[in-house]
Amino acid sequence: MKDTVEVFLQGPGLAITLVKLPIDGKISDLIEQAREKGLKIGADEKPDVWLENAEEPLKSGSSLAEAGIKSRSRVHVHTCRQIHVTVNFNNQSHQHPFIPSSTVGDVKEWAAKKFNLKEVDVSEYVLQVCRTSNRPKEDTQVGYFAEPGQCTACFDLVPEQRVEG
Amino acid sequence: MTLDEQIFREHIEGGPFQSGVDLGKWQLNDIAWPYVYINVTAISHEEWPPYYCFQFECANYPVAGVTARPWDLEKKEPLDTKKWPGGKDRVPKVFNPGWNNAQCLYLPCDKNAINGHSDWTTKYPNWIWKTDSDITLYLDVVYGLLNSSDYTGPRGA
Repeated sequence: MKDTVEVFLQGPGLAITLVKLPIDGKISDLIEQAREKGLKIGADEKPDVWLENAEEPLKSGSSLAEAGIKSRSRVHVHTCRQIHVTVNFNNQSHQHPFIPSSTVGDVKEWAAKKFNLKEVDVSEYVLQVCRTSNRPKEDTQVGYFAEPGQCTACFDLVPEQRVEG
Repeated sequence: MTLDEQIFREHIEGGPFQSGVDLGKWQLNDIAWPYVYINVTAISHEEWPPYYCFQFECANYPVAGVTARPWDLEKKEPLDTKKWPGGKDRVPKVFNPGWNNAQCLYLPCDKNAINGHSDWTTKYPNWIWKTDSDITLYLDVVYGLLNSSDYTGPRGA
């Protein structure tokens, strides 16, 4: 029987990272691992932990098993309870609050509906972080882009690139 | 084991690659260093292949980057160009067997394709291979193409 459980961790400053935790570990162990891997949250702050697309954060004192964390679960560590996401497209903007463990793919799906993109056209667009050339992968969780204390993220919905030249 | 292979093996055990595996985007098939064979899932269609295998040449990974071409797993040779992915616009530009003798994909993140395309660095900054990049940069671009509405199945279908 395995004595560890693998978990996909993300958080502000922490790109998707696969870590191993003791099978009888606690949520606090997971936060500690996230800090060791580069989580940009001060040592004096107490972040929450979300399973991907869960509505509420996990109870901080619980064990991984009690919290429902299984092998290869995807979790997010953040101090923000919601990330206020703005998406810009064709000189229009829409905002929506997402939990930190929502993915870029979730945001794109929401934005496609909000901007009335035809289903056939959705794969021809991607989200790009505002004022950058960064086009994150769809499994990146939105909390990654939100500074603790600010709790905002901004994307432009842009056409996929065509390689020419 | 050489350092480049060691780093590659660390990367495929890491979060970005394993996340793609769990999401059904790609799957490692084999490593015969410096060649690596990875299956990339394509959009589901009853008459089209469920995935394409790619042969990646990864010598001096990750510093030198990688180059890839579609591969025939059964015949253990480059995939017949009639079976390369086809499409309307974006896909045939990248999967273009008429370019460079079908040796690689026409992509800014391909170490062979970028030769002679110095303007790509500014045109496609998100697709440029950097010394701290990993194989998922290339895989994610290919997966996106094979799961887009631009993709229309194998060229000869």
